[in-house]
Amino acid sequence: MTDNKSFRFKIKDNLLEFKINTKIYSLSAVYQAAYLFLDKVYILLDGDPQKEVVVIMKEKSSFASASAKAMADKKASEDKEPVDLEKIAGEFYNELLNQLLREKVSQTNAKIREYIVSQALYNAVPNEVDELLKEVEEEDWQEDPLGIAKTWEEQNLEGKKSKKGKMSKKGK
Amino acid sequence: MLDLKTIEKLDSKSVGFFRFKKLNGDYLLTNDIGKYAFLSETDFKKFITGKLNRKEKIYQGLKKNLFIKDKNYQAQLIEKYRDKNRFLKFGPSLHIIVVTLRCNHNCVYCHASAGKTDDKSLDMDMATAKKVVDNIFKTPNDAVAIEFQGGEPLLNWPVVKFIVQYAREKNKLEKKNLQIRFVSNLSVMDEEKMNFLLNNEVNICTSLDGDEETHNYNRVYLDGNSFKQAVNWIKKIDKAYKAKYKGKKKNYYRVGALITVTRKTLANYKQVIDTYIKLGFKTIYLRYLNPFGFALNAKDKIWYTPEEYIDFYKNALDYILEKNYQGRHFYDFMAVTYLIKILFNKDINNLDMRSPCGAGIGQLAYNYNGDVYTCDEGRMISRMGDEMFKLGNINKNNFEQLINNDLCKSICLASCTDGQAGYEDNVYQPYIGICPVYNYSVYNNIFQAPKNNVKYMIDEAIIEYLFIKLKNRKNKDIFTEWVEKSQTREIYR
Amino acid sequence: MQSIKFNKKIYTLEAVEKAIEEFKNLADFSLKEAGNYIEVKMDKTDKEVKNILSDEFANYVLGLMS
Repeated sequence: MTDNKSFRFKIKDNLLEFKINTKIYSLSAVYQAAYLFLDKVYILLDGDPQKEVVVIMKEKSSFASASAKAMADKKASEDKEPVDLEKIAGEFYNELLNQLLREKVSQTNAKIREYIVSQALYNAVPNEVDELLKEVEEEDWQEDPLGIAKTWEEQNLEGKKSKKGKMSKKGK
Repeated sequence: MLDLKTIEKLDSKSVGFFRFKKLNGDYLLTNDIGKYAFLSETDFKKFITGKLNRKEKIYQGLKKNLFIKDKNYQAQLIEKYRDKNRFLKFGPSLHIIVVTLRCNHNCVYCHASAGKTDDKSLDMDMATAKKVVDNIFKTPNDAVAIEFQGGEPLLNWPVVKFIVQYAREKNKLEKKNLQIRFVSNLSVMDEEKMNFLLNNEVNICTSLDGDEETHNYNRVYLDGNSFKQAVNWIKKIDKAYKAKYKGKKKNYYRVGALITVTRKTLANYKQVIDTYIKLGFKTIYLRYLNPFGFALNAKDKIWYTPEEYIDFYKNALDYILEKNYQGRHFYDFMAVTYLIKILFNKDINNLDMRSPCGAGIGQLAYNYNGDVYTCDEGRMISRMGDEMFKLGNINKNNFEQLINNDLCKSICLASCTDGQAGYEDNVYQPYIGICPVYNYSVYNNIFQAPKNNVKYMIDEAIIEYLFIKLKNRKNKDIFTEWVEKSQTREIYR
Repeated sequence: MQSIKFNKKIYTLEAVEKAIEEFKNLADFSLKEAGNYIEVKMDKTDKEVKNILSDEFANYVLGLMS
């Protein structure tokens, strides 16, 4: 279960329902989290992706959720624990948090990863990347407008230096 | 457990790209170059918020393995990423030749759907064999491995002999690192053929499905006892190798063996492993059945569910580890393939366990009639009446035409885990491989998401089990030793 | 007759159509767009899957979205 206090849900007619604020969690994160639970519960999404997505969960009947192997094995089927919707909803919320972190890590490293792959593969597959490089050169990549060729420390240091510079100018 | 506040404080300046999963209480992290780290929840939170003490071992380890950005991060990552993907520019190195589709065995699982022993129309002729060898040497790759597969290659011996001699002769000029492997059931081997293969430095490999009961259940041979024939020749050839290399090479070659895991193997795994050890093998290759060829028709007799196979694999790996604890050096080749990626960040030529896979860019398969396929699995599909993976014919197409085929590009794209839904976020992405031929055979589409994909389910379970085992120092030392030892041996040994 | 409604802002028509293609042997499917929703109706459902078809179908469509 999640320990996050902002997680609230309601249960009605064997359906568990909760809302997700899409200002915090992207629709893509909701899809990815849902994907991991499709073999455990039925999920339907509704609502407005600009504001709130509603997640509706329904327990899978023991018949539907049992694998072919478990169905053939009577004992395994008898021992199967009933699906705890509340527990799964909690796990779903935790998975949303994981997805959120994945997206943030991915976004903040997107440019540097792209740069690394293109640089690494330049030597690996000359023909393909020569063409790519030609395209990039046409875009005047050497100016490095994104700052992707610099380490974060260089960027940081420069930022501080320029701030100092501005301040001293002001002082004059 | 992660919480919103911690995530909002992500220190994007110091945290490099990583994938993660909670595994047995700790967080497992991996990055694009295949490095990994286990962090406790507390350390994981400190890591993502940039609060780890720089002097601590954990911080230093993460920095060294390029999870933390510092001034060397970019340059090192470029170099290591390049190393990991170096194989991309090499061109096909593995060339599988089917000199005949005839076979004298009726194995229950035959992936190659072998033909009748007396049907000589299934043999490769000399002219085609010459063109195949000429094509092989057009690869830009400095390393070339020619592998005879079947059918039973001994049934078309003159063509085997020609290919070996012609390739060795041609290589005097080409000077490539040439390896020749001969995969045979050995049932019609004789001294003369053995000596020819040994004198031409051909590595011999056979099929051995374990103990006599399991082997003969799977490998039906009407003219005799398949197990006894194979074991008899394994011993003879090993003796001959030993004599040939006496005093010359420390790691002289030994006969290699390939096992096909069927339902029968699952229950008999201890006997199977014991047989391999008793015969002096240092390795076994416990890979699962492929859904190709006759294996599809014998489902009730040989097949198992992925869950059953995974249980078997875990039991077998535990048993092998037990043997190692007792001082016996013996390993599973599939585990080693993944461990090389995990511990050494390298990809070896196990081409359907790589991203992108080896189809076309790493290997080519030549059928008896000169038809060329992306890989041996693609050739097996053709035997089932579907030419989906055919690149052309050696009599009609040159090397460039075969390689620049759009099919090659599609397969490469379909087997690339980078950016592919279901793989991109996956903590095991740096280690997992996609086999588009498998996808096509089972799901009728070369693209198949990991969800409900049986091959993925099995691969993921194996990799995860290896990581669970890796958390134990003793196991990690054994695994490291396996990888180091495997580097001095050839495939299948 | 069973029916299920998919929010057009969350589910694409392409995914719904692909799922229908995959499930077509289990029932007669019909589809119509109404306002913000794509409504899928299932008729003559295979007896063995009658109780779970609409839910399994919805999961399948969602799987295609991720």
